[in-house]
Amino acid sequence: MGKLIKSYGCFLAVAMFSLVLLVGNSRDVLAAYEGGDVSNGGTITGTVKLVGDVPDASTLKVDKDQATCGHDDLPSEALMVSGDSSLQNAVVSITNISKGKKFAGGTPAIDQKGCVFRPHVAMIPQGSSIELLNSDDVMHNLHSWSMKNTAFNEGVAAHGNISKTFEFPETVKVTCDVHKWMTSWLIVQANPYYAITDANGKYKLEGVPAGTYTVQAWQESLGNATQEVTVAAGGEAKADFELEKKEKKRRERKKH
Amino acid sequence: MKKEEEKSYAGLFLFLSFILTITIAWAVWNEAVGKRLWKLYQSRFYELEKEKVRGEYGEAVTAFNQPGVQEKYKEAQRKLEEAWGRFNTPTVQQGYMKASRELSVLDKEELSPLKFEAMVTRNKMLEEEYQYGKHKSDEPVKKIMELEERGNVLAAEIEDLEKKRVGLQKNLDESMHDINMYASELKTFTNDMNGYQEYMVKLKSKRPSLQIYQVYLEDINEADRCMSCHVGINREESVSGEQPYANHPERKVYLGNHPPERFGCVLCHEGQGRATISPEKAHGEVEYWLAPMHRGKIAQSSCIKCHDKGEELIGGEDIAKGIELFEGLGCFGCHETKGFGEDRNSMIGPDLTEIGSKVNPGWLLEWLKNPKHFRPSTRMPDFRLEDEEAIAIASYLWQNSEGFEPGEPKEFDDETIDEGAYLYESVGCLACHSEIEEDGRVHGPNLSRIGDKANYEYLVSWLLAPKAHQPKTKMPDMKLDEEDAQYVASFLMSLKGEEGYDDLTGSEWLSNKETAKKGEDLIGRYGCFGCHKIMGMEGMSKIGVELDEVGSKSIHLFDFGLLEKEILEGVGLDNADENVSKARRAWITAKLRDPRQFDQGRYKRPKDKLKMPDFGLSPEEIEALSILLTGMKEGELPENYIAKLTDEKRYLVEGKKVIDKYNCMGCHQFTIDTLYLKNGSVVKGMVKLEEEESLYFQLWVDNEGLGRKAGDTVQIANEEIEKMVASQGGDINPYIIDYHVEVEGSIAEEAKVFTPPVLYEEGKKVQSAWLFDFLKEPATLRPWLDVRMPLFTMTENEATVLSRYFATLEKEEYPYEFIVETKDRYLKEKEKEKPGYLAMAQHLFEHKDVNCASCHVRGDITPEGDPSDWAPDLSVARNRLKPDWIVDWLIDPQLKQPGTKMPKFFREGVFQDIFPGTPEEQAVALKDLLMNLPDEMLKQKAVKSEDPLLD
Repeated sequence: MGKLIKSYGCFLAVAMFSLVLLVGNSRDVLAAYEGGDVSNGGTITGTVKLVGDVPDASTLKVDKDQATCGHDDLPSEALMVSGDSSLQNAVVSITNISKGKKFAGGTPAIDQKGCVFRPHVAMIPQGSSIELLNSDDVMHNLHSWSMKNTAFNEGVAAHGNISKTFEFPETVKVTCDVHKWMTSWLIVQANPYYAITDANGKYKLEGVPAGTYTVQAWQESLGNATQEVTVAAGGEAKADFELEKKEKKRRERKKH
Repeated sequence: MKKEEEKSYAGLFLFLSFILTITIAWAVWNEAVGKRLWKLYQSRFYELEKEKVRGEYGEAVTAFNQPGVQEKYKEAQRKLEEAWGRFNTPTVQQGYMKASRELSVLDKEELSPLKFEAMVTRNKMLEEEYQYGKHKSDEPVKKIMELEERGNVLAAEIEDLEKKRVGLQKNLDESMHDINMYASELKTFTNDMNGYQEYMVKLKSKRPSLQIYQVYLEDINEADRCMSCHVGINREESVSGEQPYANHPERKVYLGNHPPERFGCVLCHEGQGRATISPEKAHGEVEYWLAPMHRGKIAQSSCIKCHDKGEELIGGEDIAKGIELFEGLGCFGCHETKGFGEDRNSMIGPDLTEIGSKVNPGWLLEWLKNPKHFRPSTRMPDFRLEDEEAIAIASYLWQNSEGFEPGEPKEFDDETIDEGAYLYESVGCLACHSEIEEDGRVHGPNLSRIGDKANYEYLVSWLLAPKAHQPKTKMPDMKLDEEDAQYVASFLMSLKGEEGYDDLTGSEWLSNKETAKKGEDLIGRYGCFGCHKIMGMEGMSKIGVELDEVGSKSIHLFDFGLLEKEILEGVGLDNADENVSKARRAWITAKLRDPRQFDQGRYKRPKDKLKMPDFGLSPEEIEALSILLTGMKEGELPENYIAKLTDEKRYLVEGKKVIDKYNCMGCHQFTIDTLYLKNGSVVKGMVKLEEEESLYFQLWVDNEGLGRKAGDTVQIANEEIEKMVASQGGDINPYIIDYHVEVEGSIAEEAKVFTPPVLYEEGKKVQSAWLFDFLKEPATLRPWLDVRMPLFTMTENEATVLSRYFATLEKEEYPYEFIVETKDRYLKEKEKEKPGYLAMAQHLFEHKDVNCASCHVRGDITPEGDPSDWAPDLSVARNRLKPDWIVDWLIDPQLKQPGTKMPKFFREGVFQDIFPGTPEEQAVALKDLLMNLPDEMLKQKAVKSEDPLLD
């Protein structure tokens, strides 16, 4: 037993050491964000809209565990567009800021309720954790399709939960493979300048130090668009985004 | 005229004695110096060696004298002095002395007497035991007990004292700790310098004796003196960049595996190992010497003297390429060659017995005239046929073909073609074929413009059962149904070039008997049947020269025609005898570059003309082939030189052959990425994402250096990476991923789920017997895949070789393996430990928070939802999977197959009410259940009363 503790301790020491090294290294590569007080910060506001025809709302077929998930089809959240082409759940963020206001908060938890992820788009600061809950009566699994953060896929018992930490900034798709219609997105942010658009496609980034930044709008079905935005001290800059639906390859799958 | 007595011969004598003196002087000089060039080389070598060390010493001194280094050195010196100062203070000294005294007292006065007594007690005990053995009385037993007790007491006391001793020793060490540390730090500054200095002194003190170094290879009666000039050939560090002073290039690979003391040099390099008079003679580069030296890459030709042709040799890459070409181009179709073309189950070119229903005659004619014009990547060489010759051959083939009448050309609508294209892209054709002009994928023929060549009806029938048309084809049965085969064929027929071919179906010559007769003669002359199956030509023998011993064939048997002078001059020779090996290679090179050039300027009857076709080889390919041919020599080395493959290696070599034959890697990934970091550590896993300055790497194997576990993703800066060896196989994956990303809108990581399974560590995963069966007759395991395992119709031997390959690779048992889990004894024991064991496991299996059946098929019972979302049938697990693998899999599926949809269920402390225990114990229980799934768990319970007809 003592030997085990010793060898485990040794492993832990190496692990800690490497973590320090790794964090040290990644700082070089990523130029980590530095939070502090921002006096007389500016604001960036705007809307995100869809270019082109507004598609009909699509639905998701519920073909499993209908006692819990319901018998009806669920509305798809992959592309939520209002009548005037405003996009909900688009994420607007500054991609190249290394110093600014303090970074705290984020979405505390993603829940699975009625076989739907709530919220559909969540956000946490880099290096922090999020609770992943299951409020349903059936087992769900949580599968993260991340590229930078260590990916996981774990079963979560009815009314159970797990917690996960995300080391690198990344847009992570999270699905439940048991119920294939269930999808959500977790945005791991390097800085606090991000916003998720409301039903009118509106967003607001506050407390931005004066300067010129690259601002990105991203939506899960449409990809992203960026623009350079200059913010004056205490001023308000406007940046509207238009995202376009990419043409799919012509070939469609045949249903057998 | 003077009298004889008055004549003086003094001038003549003087002259003659002068000549005599010169001659003697020359003889002495020649003997001592001229013929002893090796002495010069050796002295020069030792000079160079000294110079090198001197230079390195100088560098070390300069480095040490750098201000920065000096500062640190002084600092270390200062610290050492301080440490001594601290140590020399009275209190520390007193403590040290006291501890050291205590230690010595402890050792002498306490520990040794106790140890002595313990020894005596033990001896007494042995004696009593001996006494007991003799008399069997009670007294010794009692004594033994007493002694044993005493022994235990003593042992305990000794242990206590030892502990105390360790404590004291530690105290002593601690007080000296700083001093030792700084002293050794100080040493690191001067280590290099001192090392070189010592080395220099050593070199100076010992005068190297100049001598002949000879290796005598008794078995082949060869004396090898090469190292008399090449003294430093096996030195770790080279003293010069030039021979004969330099060491062997890639010394570790070549000499590490072939120590010159055992193999000499001539075994690989040939030459005249005995000669010491001049480099030319020693290298055998003199007239009439039969084995001139192999320089550079050519030395690789000797690898096959001892090594199996299939063995992958580091440092033998060029000859390996030659072997691959020889094999791939089908040289053995015309030239009988030992060790090639031994797979009776395959064929170089396609079977031509159905050619009339397969292709368009207009295409055939053009193809015969210049195959590479239609298909640059084809292996079919150019026979440089005249028009009439091509017509005659086409006519013979057409009249000797069976099959069905091809129907009229058909037109297909876009929808049909699209569906065909979708199937073509998704079922797996892309693993071997490409419809894009010459994109480098050549395992199967390139399919661009195939519509100009082929007949639709034939394609459909071919796709449905390739082996029914050509029993020896490598093309597998893709298990398409008739409708799908039609779709794919219509897509293929839509691939047309701009020009197309004339429809010559009605031509007179196609059915003319006389033309066909001419064709028959031509086919006989060119030996087409060496590669193709042609009706009426069965059992004909190969038309080319045997190549078994071409590397030692007399140079005078090579016919240069009128080009001898020109070709030999090209390699710097005046005549062939000057360097027979070079001359031979010059001929081979010329032959391969332009096979019929030796006919130039000579009259020959048509049937005597050279007939070897033009393969359109590149200079590199020609070089590789000439290395191989140079190595095909007569005679064999004695047994003890032959690098016999161990069984294990042989299994791997054989397996690799079958893998290449069927192009398994076209679909399956076999290995993972390996990163060699600059700090020396090796990281295994898969690259997940590459960015400008770093990459994200998912570990598949625990890595102590990084302190991370398998499954973790780590960021590694590009500048830390020395070298990366990429995974092998899975060539089709990018197409599948691309489709799912572009059309289905998945993210790339998700799309990987739709790629063929990775076979890394397959031998640890599946049971060999199951794999054998599966290879013979694949069944669908993963219903969500569009790409499918085709039916290769392997021979039993091939399936055996493959399943053995995977087992051998993972050092698993083969062919039989005892699976204890399925035995009654095992289950009984488990039941005894945990009553109701299997029933509890079943509860775990069925518990709503594990609920295996929610996704997995089991026998007759299928899960809810779309079949493409179902997971593999669990009733197969018992015969398919290895029990240990199942346990590892259940503990954390992501570690075995990153990205899998199978979640991890068993975390510390969960499901304790159903199956109390650790995650391992829970996984083991589920494994035991899977290995013993009761029948009733596999059958749909007959509870539904609905009329099945209503469904």
